Amino acid sequence: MGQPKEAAVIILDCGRTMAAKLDDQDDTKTHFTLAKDAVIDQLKHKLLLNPKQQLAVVCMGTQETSNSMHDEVEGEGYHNVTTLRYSSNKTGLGDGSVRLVKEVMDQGCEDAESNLLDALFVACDLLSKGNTYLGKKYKKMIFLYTNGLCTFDPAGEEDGIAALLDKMKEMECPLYTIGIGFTGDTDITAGGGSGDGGGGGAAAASAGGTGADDDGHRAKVEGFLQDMANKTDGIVQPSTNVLDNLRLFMKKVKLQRTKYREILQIHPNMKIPVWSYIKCKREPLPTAKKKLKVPTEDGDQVRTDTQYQKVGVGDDEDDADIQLMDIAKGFRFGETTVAVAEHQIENITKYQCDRNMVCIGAVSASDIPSHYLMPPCECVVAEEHNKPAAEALAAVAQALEELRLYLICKYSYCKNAQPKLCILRPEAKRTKKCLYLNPIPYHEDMRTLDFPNLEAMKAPSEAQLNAVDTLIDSMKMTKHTGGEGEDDEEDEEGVKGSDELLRPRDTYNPTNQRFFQALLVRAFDPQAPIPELDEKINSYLRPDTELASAAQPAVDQINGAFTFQKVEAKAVGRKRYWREVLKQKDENVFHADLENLKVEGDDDGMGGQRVPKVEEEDDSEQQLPADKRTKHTISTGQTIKHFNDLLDKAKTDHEVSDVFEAMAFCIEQLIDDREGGGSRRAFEAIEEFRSKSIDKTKPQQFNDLLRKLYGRRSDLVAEIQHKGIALITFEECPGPGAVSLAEAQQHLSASETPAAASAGQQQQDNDDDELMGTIT
Amino acid sequence: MSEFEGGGFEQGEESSGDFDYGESGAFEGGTDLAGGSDAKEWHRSREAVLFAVDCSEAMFDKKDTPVEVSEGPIKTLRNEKRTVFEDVLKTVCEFMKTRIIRGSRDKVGVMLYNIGAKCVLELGDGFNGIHVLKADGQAGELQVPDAERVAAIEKVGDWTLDKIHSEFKECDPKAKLGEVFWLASTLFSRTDIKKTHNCRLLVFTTEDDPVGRHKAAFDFAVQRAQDLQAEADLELFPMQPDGREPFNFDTFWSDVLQVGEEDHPELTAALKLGDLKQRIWSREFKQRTLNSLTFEIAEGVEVAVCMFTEVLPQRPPTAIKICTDDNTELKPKRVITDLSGASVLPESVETYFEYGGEQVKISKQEIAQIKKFDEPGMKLLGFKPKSSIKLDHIVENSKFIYPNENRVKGSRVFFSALLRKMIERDVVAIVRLIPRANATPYFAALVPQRESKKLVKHIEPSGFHLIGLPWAEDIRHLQLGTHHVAVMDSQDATEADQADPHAIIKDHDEWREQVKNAKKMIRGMKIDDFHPQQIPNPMLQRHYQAIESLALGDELPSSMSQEVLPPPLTMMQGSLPEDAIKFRQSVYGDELVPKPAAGKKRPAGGGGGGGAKKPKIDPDSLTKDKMKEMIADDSIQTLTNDNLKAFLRENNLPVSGTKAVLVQRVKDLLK
Repeated sequence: MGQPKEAAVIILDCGRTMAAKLDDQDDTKTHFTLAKDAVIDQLKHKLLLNPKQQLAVVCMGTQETSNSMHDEVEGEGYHNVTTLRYSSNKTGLGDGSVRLVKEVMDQGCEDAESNLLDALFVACDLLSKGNTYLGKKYKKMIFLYTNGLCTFDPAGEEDGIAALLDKMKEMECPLYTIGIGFTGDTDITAGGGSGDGGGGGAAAASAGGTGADDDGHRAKVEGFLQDMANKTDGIVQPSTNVLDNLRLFMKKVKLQRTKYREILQIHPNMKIPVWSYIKCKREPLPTAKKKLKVPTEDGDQVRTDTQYQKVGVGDDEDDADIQLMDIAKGFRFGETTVAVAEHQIENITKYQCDRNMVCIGAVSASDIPSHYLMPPCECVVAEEHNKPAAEALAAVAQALEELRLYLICKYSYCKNAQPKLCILRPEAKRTKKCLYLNPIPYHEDMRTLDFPNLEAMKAPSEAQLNAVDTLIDSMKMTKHTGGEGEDDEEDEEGVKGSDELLRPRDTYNPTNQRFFQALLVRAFDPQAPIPELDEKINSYLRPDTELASAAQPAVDQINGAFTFQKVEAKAVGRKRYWREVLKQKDENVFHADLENLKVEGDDDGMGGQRVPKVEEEDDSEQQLPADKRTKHTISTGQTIKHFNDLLDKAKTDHEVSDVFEAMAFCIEQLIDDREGGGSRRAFEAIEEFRSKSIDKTKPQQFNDLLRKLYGRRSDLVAEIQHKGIALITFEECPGPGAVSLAEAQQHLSASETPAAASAGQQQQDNDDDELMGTIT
Repeated sequence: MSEFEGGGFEQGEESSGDFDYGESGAFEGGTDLAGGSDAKEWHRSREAVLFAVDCSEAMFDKKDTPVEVSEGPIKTLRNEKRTVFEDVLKTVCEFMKTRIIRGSRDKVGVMLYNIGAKCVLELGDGFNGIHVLKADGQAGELQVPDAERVAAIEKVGDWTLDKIHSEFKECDPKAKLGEVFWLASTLFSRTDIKKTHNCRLLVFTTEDDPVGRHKAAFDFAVQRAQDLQAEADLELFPMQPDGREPFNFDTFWSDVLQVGEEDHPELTAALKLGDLKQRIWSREFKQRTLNSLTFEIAEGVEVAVCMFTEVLPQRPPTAIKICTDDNTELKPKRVITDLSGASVLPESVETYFEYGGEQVKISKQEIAQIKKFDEPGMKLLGFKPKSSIKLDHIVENSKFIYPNENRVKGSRVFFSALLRKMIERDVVAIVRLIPRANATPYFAALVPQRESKKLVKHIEPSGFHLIGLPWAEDIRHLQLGTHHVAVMDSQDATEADQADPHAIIKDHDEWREQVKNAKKMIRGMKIDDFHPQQIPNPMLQRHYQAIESLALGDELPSSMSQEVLPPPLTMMQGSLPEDAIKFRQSVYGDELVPKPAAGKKRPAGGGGGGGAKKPKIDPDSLTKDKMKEMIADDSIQTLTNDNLKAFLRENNLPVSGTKAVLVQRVKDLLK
């Protein structure tokens, strides 16, 4: 986005009348300091926001004389006018620069007559000289800072003034006057007379001479300037209005430039020539440049180059960089890398399409909610000076508005640009009928989200709803004054004074503003620290203080109605399987875990999975009772490896028990799953389990498992017996749950029926109890 | 590269690919998340999707299927005879291609069951009746899709029942469904896929009662499905060819899927052919959190929210660099050099901004300091009526906000109350948002969204849409007077309007007649049930079509250079040409396209006046001598960039850079 080219001359009154004090208390503040500070601010901002501007400052009332007009007439005329500018050209304006600003800073109020007309002639001359090389694309303007007490004698200058006016009109150059003590200036109440009375030295003397006529003189000057402003589309403003605005909120000047000038094809039989402008787009900060800290012979410039290396090669290896000739272009297609020949690249990357905006249908406005709209928004209007097109576009906008429809169109803003899918929304205000264009997502751009319904879940109580209601009431950022149509007429003009807080139009980006502040400070003092953020900007990053204090009762109500409890971030937990929970339930210890059972879609909130799952805090494992500790699972895929891994990690007795428990469960799974189909893995696992049980002297769980298995199908028992897997005996491992050798052998040889086995198991359990009794 | 280039304003979008996100990269796009480790639990960065496709007889019923056909520039739907099986496999291919287009590194696998093959893994006896598709020379069953794999699966789509019967005779084709689930679990467990991926099994079948009355088989299947669902998602896509019995969920699947019908109303309706694609779309992606933030209601009152991407434009990828020796991808490395070409350490470089002809030094750290305002989070500033959100003020793609109960208990019930009341009062909440550490703040509106299930293909969940608001700098004030935007009915015109030279004041009857004609034309263009989901991006589609062809060594499609209109929509069905012509005549008279009034007309392309066109210079006339002359009188500046580039190219010099750089290069050459 370009910036408009501007050429400005600022006239600063430095004459003795400007030495008038602003108020009686402070000697340092005079009309001149006020004007000078304003000029400096204006220059600083101009440099920042529109660096392409051509600038010069004309000081009138200086003791020296240095200006182009004076030189031309060999020492005569146009005295006491000094031109400050920086340019390689001998005449005309110069680039805005920090040096110019510094020079204005050094300028003092001098003891000389300031002649308004002389200064205006010099300014106009600068611009018109500039005109020869600046061309018409530069927008020219003259700013004048004065208190209106300068010398002004139109007598005998009528011809000159007429010529000046003609010249300014020809250049379309308005005159903007910032008048100190002019009509409407509220801060400078002292006015000319009393101010001058307080002035010292020469200023007082001079002022004394004109003192009686002060008010009349100022009025005369003001009248003249007002007349000039009227004739050149300029403006006369009292200083109070302008100066405050200058300090804060800097907005870059943007050139209004079309993005698209072509046909809008609403229907193959109905085409409208349109122009489109970007309406709203994020404004980025300027780009930082790089240079060497210590310049070399070639200067301090640096370049950023891209070198290429093979993946997996370290950065430090010298010959890692691939030579340019060995590099080709390509694309990824999933995992495949496809090399593309140079002549094919264009064929693939360039999508051929014309510059056009073609409607493909109309859709109900309710089908396109606001969250589908993507930036940037463009304003589509009829071609300039084309009344029939404007009428057609207005009729379409009106029709769309009345039908509550949007148009859908395909839009390529230039040839071969990626076509965007867009909607055209109507704007059918009385004084503005146009279409707004917003891109909408294609199928590939959309993400489908799925969450449990907030409204279907546990309903908030009446008290909670009331609390929220009160909150909304007390934190309203708009006051209901007018109706809906309030916004109607002020749209483009940006009329202020609405009751809405933080209206986007009046709210400036704090980051940009802070950056500009920092840049301005640094430009004039390289050692200065980054300034703190201006309190005015900072204030709207916080909730409005009035609003916040008004909302306090509502907040208290919220606090009373809701309980918010922070959950500390927990370590990544292991998942437990549902089947374990079921198993525990069978063992009647499940109730302890019920609280931990989370059914997604009801409690978890993020709706990721619909599977009931158990989560647990495993960071406090040591302190928890046994039934609350982490439960392991062993995969049926690599049972033995997994089992051994877990066993290695298990440190306490309890943990080993847990692993054994998981293993027993896993073995049962393996046997169940294969339907007794002789799974090799199941038996390998059983054997491993047996040996590890002996190692750890914990035979109880293994024996329990084996008894359980004995109690099952006869083919399984036969296989166990065949493989010689027996209960663990006292001889092998003297731990709780071990059996006598006789009993083990009995199981190995006997072929029991399930019923008998269960009876046997019952018996065994009793035996175990006795056994435990004897051991303990 | 600049500190500000794009930075700070890109609000941490999900990346479209180039990131190598390992397990730690739970948040794509390198979003720097402060203290959100809990989010990793539910949202792993990648997905592993396994398709299980039934190969029983019913899957090979041939039926009419609507198929997209390109006729010249417009795509239309035409019915074609296809089998359910073919349709499913085609959809799987589409699914893989979409993944590729989105640049995701997700793994995809396909298994066929009820087929006479045996799937044997390293351990165990193998699974009867199941065949897992593998591309030649590839190891794992679940792979990041590539061209070969897509092509292989596309070919499988053409298989007939006869071919399957004749080629796969290893064992009884009847597979146990429990084994299908078991095999899926096993595949997900291998190489720890389940630890780093969100695993999903999508089952496509016509069979509503796959186990019959066999109790053991039923229990086995249910048990296996439960096991699977403890670590992965199981989703059913019931297929119902015409003329078959309706798919009955109660016989088997309702026990396996473990979800009530109220959660999945769409499950009760079996799929017709052709619906499949849309159903897959709607389930295409698992949502991933973009950010996990605190939401400060007032001082000391905080709830927690998660932020999700709703809309993210996908652009065609830029070309990567490949080493010609072995066709491997090369990684770029940015180096800073001085003008002599010697590389420079980053420490010896400083940053500055130009201001008024001076270089103003502001270091990187200071820029970071300028951009830092507060800790990441959302802060409630107040409420405004919904109408205060102007649609022409859209500056960000919208995000979705949902309460995060895992960080602050009570968040959800608060949001539930807030949602109800905000909808009731028709207001939006204005918040200040700092999406992540070191991001710049912006204001946004939270727009409440009630759950709506208007269409099967797209469900709007309940929650809040977050719509970024512009700053004053972002809004442009347009001067549109000369475009005659003030067109009005004479009955509405005020005196001021009469005086406005740009206003067009229309006679009431004439104006209403024109509007009536426009309405008639537009009504004819109306599309019902529109959703952007219906329209794929033609440029992306074409790009990947071309890459796919190249990857498989095919010819580039002939339609490459031709523009394709995006819609599969039937263009303006009901709109008669007469309506449009009538409207045109009412505003333009006999003209087809009106010309602007004579007088001021800015030349196209130039802003604020353009000036005379530079005279064309024949590039061949630019000899070295001529250049030297031009350098001497500085008329080299009048040459166009094309001229300069042509000259540089002829002298084997680089042609990159701005005009100043080009001129300098020419000067250096002729020094």
